Amino acid sequence: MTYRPPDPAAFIARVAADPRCAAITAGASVDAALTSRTPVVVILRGNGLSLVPLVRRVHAAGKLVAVHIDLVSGLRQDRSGVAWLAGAGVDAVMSSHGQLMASIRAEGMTAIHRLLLVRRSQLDSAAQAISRAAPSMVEVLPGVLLPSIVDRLPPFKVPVLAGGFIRTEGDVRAAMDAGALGVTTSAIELWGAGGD
Amino acid sequence: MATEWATRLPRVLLASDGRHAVHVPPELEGGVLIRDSDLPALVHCAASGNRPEAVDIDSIAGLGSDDAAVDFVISRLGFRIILTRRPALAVRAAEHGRLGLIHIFGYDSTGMARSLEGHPRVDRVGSVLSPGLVITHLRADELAQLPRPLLAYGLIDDVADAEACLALADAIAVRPVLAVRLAAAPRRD
Repeated sequence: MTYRPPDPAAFIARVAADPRCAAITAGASVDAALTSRTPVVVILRGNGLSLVPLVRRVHAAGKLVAVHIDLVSGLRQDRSGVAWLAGAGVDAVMSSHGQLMASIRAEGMTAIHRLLLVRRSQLDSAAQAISRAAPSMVEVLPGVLLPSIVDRLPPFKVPVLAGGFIRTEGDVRAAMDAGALGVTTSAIELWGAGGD
Repeated sequence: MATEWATRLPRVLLASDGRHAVHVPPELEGGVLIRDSDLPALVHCAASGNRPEAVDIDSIAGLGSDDAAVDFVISRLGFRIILTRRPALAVRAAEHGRLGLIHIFGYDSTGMARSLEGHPRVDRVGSVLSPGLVITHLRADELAQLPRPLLAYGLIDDVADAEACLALADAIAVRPVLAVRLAAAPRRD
């Protein structure tokens, strides 16, 4: 049977209910993520061509999978690369390339556009590019700076994740106070102990 | 042969597109960084009396990203600090006896570690941390990994942030308007 990812609204609802997403490099920290409370496992590294076993493990643990297509190896950042991830059962795809967002949506996955904070002079053009790409979510990096720059960002019409150097409870609270729906973090201690 | 002058990194670089005169406040140990410009403006700016010291070579429209471009901006235009994403170009600047600074992208810990993998770690090749403000959130071991001299560049928008970044980096890049405010701020040393 072909796997169908949740629609973006359902994906976002999962994050809203439990806002700490586990950022992992494939092979590392997987067990900790699977036994944590995290609703979404974000794969930042590894071989994009051999993700199926990991995706199945994550789904078996009742969690969703997001893959950063710009960072995993073996895949090109194009429509075919996105289709490959859809075939692997991935629920969401993250990228800094706005032109991929339509392909991600067309495959039924949640499209997450990464906004890389570089310089003030580039914020407006980056925000406009995101607006044109129409992702389902935006991930702001480094998320630890979101509280410092939120008043300089135009309002996004989609939920925001804060990722990058989120390492303490204080960082999580500050990001969410600044308007983030959730965070992505590789700090295992922030993922929360699993229930049950 | 490298001289101390040729490789000295001013504490405060005023970022400019080179199309308008930028004056470094005399209270600052400063210089001018040209970025987000184009080749004619770069040449014009270099020929002016207000000669800039540094150029972000990858952000100059019309200028190549190769050895010939580095040779040109150093030997013909007189720049002595080259910012680039490409390690080979920073090494080329160092071979000229000048200072090369390689962009290290500090968006997250994983990406920063990957960015550092390509750093040649040789003399006269330092780092540009982008965005610079993130330096205030790095652990000591992460900061120690960044090859010096270290320029913090990006999202430094007020005096308090500038001073916090200066306490950790060798230099910062800021907009001219902030440099004026920084020069007018009470000295804390």
